[in-house]
Amino acid sequence: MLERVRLRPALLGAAVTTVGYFVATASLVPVSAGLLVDAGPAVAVAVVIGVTALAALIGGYVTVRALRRHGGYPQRLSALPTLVVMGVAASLVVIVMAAALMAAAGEPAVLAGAPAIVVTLTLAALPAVLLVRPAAEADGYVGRTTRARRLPALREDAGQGSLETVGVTTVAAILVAALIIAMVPGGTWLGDNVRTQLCRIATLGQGDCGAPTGYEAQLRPEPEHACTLSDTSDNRGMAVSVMWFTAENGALIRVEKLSDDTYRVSREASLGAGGQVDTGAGVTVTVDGDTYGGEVQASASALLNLGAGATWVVDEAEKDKLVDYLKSERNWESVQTTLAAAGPAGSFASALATGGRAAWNWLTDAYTPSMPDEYYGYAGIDGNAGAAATGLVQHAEAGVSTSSVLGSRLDTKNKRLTVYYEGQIDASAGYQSHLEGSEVGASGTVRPLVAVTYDTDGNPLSVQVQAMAAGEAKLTVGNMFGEPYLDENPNGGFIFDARVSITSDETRDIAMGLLKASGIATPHPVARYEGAASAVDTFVSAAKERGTLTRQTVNMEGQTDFGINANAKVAGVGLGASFENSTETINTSDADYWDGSRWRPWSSCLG
Amino acid sequence: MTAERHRFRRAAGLAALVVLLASCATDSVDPATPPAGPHAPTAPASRLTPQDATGETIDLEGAGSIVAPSGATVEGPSTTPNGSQQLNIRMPDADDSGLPAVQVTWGADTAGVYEQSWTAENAAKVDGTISDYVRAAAQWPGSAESVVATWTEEIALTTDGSLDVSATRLTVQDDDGTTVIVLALTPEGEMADSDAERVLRSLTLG
Repeated sequence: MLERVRLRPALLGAAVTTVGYFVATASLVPVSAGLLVDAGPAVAVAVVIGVTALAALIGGYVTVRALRRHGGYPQRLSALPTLVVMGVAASLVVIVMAAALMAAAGEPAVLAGAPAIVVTLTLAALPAVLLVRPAAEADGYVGRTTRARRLPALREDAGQGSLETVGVTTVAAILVAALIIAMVPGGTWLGDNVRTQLCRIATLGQGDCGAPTGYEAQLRPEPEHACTLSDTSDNRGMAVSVMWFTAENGALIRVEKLSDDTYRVSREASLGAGGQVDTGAGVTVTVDGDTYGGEVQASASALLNLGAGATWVVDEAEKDKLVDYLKSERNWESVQTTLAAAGPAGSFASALATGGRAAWNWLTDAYTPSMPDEYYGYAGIDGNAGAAATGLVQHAEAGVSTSSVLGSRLDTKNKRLTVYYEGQIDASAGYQSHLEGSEVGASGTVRPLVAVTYDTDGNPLSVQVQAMAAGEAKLTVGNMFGEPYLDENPNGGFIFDARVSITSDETRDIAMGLLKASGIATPHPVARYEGAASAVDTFVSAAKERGTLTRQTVNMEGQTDFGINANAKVAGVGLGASFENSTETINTSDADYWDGSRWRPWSSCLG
Repeated sequence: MTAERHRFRRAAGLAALVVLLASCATDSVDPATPPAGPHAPTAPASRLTPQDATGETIDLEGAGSIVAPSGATVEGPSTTPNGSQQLNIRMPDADDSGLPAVQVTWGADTAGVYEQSWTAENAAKVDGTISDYVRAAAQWPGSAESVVATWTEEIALTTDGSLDVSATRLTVQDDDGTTVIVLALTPEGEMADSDAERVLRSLTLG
């Protein structure tokens, strides 16, 4: 005989089922993930369904016990309506909480597993009637329902009222806490682990499920540093090359639009004559058989393509004035260069024209830029000088100075100095862990751009590692940053950028370990260094947990036959005409940052 | 007569103006004064000057030449990772560490001498093994800008010890943009009048 639905027992059981469900899926399953993967798919599926059903069964048991206490359990069948309500209620709570967790993680709250949850939590609760004897059956008065005949059963349940109150209060507190955890920033931990571990089980450990996150790897905010949105260089020179390269007597103005609506305008101070810039950062881009520097789009490496000069950080309005001013100066210097080539008469004419130029500026009250924000310099062939002394001394320790200095940049306001190195990391030394299951293994040498910023006393403040994953270097570089399975991009690639601020002895050791692994001399002893692979993994992990890790998609307009040669030299692409302007633009798109558990759109970097 | 005097005065005035303007257009620089500019060396100008030497003249494949003492061992040239050429010269009296020694590097470069030596100085400042780094402008025939840098460096050895060395580096650049860098290395305090310094001073561009 079916009894009416008793809500209080049903809700109590639903609460217990809900808690049990999340405990099982968020704790027991993750803890035993390794065992489940090893056991195979059938066992894993059985365990997942089993622990979920067990949660519902326990909830059902609690419901039936409460039902009997309230006199609503004369026969086993009489509890079924309440158990069904309990199962459905538990399912609804689970589904709502799961949706909240997904929303907190920034994912669409579409729960494909909702029907399975309803079915499992409802049906699995029903066998609970087999675990609890009906009151009448327990008292030997089957079919009788008088108050006197229920007394023995009531005595058996004596004291459970207060327990239920405590239980309901506790469960409610847990639910509220769970909801708060799910909704507040950083609440992705629960959802992450559920998703990650279930993904691992479903894919038998072969899928790209990400790593379980710890409490220390909570949701991270967007990076504060500005990113480069586009990079346009206006180049004029004699026997000019394309934009970021320079040629005889040429000059270059570089305009970088940053994501914070500021512009970096750079102007060459002087150029050595002849030759082509070897950007040297290890990643170059080949287009139609010609090789470009692949890192040219990144603001941090902007200096690599220039000889030396000054950079102003300005807003849009001043940018236009500044660029006009610099172009005018550039044209003027072109004239001067031409005049200087004419011998003494040219020098005379140049002197005359200089006076006229100054007078014109004075009369027209021409715009005059403020002091540059930064000075930068490219190391040229002197970049290997740091390793020269070591190379000359016999019995010198090898591997200490295998890097090259690419350039440096001095902040004129706070006097902080950033030195850019071309690191050299043996990729075959130990990145295989990211490539299990891949048919292609990592090999060769990764030459990332490493930027170290120092204070005025020479103490390192931050370390930045940047490399481009594209073409032949896609797998190796992607693997270095823990992303070996990148999408194909025939017209570009991905710029990875990992940064760690040095705020403690630990982060200093991590950063110094990375420098040592890259062949860069460090100003401090490295206590934690345990080898190149370990140092790089530790650094990237630190960037994920407490620094910043970003990636940007790089596209070059109108160019095909894209290829990357990780160690190729830069060859120029001459346009073959004197005094010919050239402008090219490299665009970036799809910028992401690592939020502590996954890639998120870097909204401030999307223009 | 008065008109002739006036014409003469105008001509003299014009000539004076021409001389004045022409003098403004020349590149004459006081050797003792550090050059201007954000990347220029700030130390007092170096007194290191070219000096003829006797021995074996080594051709730098169009970049110039340098003279090694008789009995010296020349290693190279070889190509560096950035494409420049490089050779090492070991002195006849080199010790177990291979010093005194000279390294010559040359190749095309788009960075000016002041600019690239500015970056080299910046890198040296934050290198814990380098001390007493001084970068100074110098005068060298054939090079519009020349820089001499000196420092002391602690070299880690495979034998768990270290070796302190004195270093002098000359950076010059010819009109074609070819940069030549000569690094002389001796045990600490033995640079002055050493064979390594004599080799460095024997560099001739062109």
